[in-house]
Amino acid sequence: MTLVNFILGIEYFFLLYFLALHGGYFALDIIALLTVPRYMQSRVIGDLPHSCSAFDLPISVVAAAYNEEAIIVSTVRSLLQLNYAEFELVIVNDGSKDETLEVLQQEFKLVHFPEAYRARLPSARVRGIYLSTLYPNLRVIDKDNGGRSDSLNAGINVARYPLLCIIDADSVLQRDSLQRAVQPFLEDPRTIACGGTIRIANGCQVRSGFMERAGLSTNFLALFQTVEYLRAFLFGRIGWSPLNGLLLISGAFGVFHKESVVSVGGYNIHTIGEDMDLTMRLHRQAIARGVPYRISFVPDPVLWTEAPESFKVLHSQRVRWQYGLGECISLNRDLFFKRGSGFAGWVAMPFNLVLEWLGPFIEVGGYVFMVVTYLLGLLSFRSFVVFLFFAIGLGMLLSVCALLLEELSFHTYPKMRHIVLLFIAALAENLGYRQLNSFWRLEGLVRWLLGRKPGWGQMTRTAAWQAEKLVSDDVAKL
Amino acid sequence: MGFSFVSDADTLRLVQSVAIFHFALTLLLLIVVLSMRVSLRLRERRRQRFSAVWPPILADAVDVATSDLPKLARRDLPDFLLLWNHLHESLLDESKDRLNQIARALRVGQVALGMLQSWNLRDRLVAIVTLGELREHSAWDELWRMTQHEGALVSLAAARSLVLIDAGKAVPQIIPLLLTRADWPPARVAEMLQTAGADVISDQLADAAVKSALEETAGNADGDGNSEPNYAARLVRYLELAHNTSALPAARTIAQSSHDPQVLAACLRLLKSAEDLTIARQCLAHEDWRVRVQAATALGRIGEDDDENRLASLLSDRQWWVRYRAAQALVNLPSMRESKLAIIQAAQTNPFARDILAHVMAEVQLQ
Repeated sequence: MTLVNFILGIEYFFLLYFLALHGGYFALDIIALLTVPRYMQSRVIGDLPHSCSAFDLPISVVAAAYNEEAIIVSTVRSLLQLNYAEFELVIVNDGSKDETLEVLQQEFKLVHFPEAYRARLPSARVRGIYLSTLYPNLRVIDKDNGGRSDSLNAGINVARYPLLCIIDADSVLQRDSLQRAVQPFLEDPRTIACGGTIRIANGCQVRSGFMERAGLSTNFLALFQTVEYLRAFLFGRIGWSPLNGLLLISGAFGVFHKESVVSVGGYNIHTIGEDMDLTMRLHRQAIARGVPYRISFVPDPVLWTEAPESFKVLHSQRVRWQYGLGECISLNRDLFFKRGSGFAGWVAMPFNLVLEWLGPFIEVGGYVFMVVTYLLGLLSFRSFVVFLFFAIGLGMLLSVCALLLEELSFHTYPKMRHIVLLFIAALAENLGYRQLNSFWRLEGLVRWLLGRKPGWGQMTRTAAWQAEKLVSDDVAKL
Repeated sequence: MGFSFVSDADTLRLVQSVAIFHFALTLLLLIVVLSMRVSLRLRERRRQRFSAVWPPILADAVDVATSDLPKLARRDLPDFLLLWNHLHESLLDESKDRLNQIARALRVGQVALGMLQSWNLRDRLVAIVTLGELREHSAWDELWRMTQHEGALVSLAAARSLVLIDAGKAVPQIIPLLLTRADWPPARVAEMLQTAGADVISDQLADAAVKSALEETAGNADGDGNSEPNYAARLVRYLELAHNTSALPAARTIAQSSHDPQVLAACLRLLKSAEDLTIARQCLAHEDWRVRVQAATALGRIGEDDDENRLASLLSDRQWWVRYRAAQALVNLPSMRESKLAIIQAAQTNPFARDILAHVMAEVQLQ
């Protein structure tokens, strides 16, 4: 094989990857563009007042808390005010080293309760279960520290209702989120899981645990992540949902058919991408049993979460995500091309393997190849610039498509200034941030190959968006 | 240099053109997004003007009939219909009549009839709901056609509108649909049946449930194997909305003939009097836990002191919900006292039985 043929082969490989990746994203984008307007139109019925009845599906909301003494009270208060006919709240204190349990006990008048529950999922030792004397639908589990997955398993054991809503205790859930997320279960009995949109809370204003005003952060990393999340949720998830090819219901917010979760063994405490692993196992089990099923996504149950604003934390998060993706794909490889697995096994799994998991390797390889061939004089400067221009332009177009979807649907960010800022971020994130992400993800990929599990790192939350709320809560106490 | 395809002049020109096209498209999308936002702003301003005029008029009309109405601009119609329907869903019958007078004065019915054919799903749904609330008989045939629509939203909204227009005529036509539309959310169907009223639905629902259950039982006995869609269970569940005088005899008849666990469980939910004790007791030992849990719950409502041992034995059931309901039923037995419960608890050899009783006793104490 000559050098010419070798280089030509590599070029075709990169071109093919590039076309497949962006072709895939554009296909998802088109599906989302067709789906979202229709969904928005259909909301008119759901927005009318409805009477609640015994026929509504009751939900257990489960949240794990670790060292959340600063915000746990406002989080629980906001969750208790969710608009839903019948729900219970199960808060799991995962062996916090701070006063999380104590503030809950004091604020909600918790009493120790001899709960007889079914420990169908393994979890660390439960020290005690508490029931609120103020709110009969609030229970708190105090347990030894075992991590988020372990805590959620403990919460699921205690949960009583047929539907489970898993949320992050340090996030803000929109008041009508449960009503909206439960719709797929009501409309299609085959539904076993449903996800909702996660948005970035940095720059927003929260009062008493509820989103008061959406806004944008002045931190450019948070701003880039806002665009990333729009892209991931508005056309990533919405695009896969009608195909039943959704492989990830985010751990920050998802509603599940409880028995389905229990029957697959709950959350795997040994994986980093426990939410994706659970979703994939739900697919696998339903396919293995030959049961018709749906894993859906509804765009408007929204959960707001804080994005990292420092390179260090973001780096750690992205390495972990990529490592988790490798773990999940490896653990659930049975799903590949399995008979009856539909889009999940035949399209979504290969897409995630080749384009998402191996993607950083190919992307970084592409950048290195371009630079090396240019430096060796094998590539003209013009070619170098034109292909870079082409790749960046396509990335920008995809990001701006997400803005279009946002404008077609929710208009979350109220000001014209927000639109312009998001547009600038959608362009600018392609000039360095995405490439940096590819390097971080490559590190995650290599770590997985070497079996070097990344730590959880320290997510430093500024909770600036909650500042007003904390002040108002403090004033209320006085 | 120039031996690879990325250095080929034609390829470069093509890639360059595509890249420029991407940037142009990106800018175009920005313009589209900004125009949409401007348009949204204009809509919001119009909505503000609308909100200054119409909500007070409609709110006043709820209390006092009014004939002095401003002209409704065509562009305000969508907002008007949303507001009007919103009020309709929140008000009592008398006020609804006044809202309807206003809508008729504004000839909303004709507009809504036209909107039934709209390609826009939102407009169609608003039109369906509006015609129902307006009791627009002229829309009957079109709405009936829409109940056959493949989408649950459209078909169920149309069915509900028919119920609003003429419940007596609609219910006999709609009940057979309940057997086939698995995609209609039970909570929304229940809402529709409640709208029709127990007087209208009771006998027809009871008859349909009995007929369906007997047919399914006969079908299963014939071994046709078609047991997947559980139509009878679905209908029996809705009997909760019917008068007891119709629902109870139907539930008893079905419970005595059906062997389907879902149907039996649905029947047991309805049992409310001592004459049903035999059925409930028989079901305590059913192989399906969904039946056992409803039997225990039924004994919690109608059980007698004689049921103590039966319920105590269920405290060791392998299903948590059966144990829990049995413990609750035990606590609710007429002559049950805390001291007696403590004796029952101490007598249990199964730790699960002791735990569940402790759990329910603690719940009672907290209450």
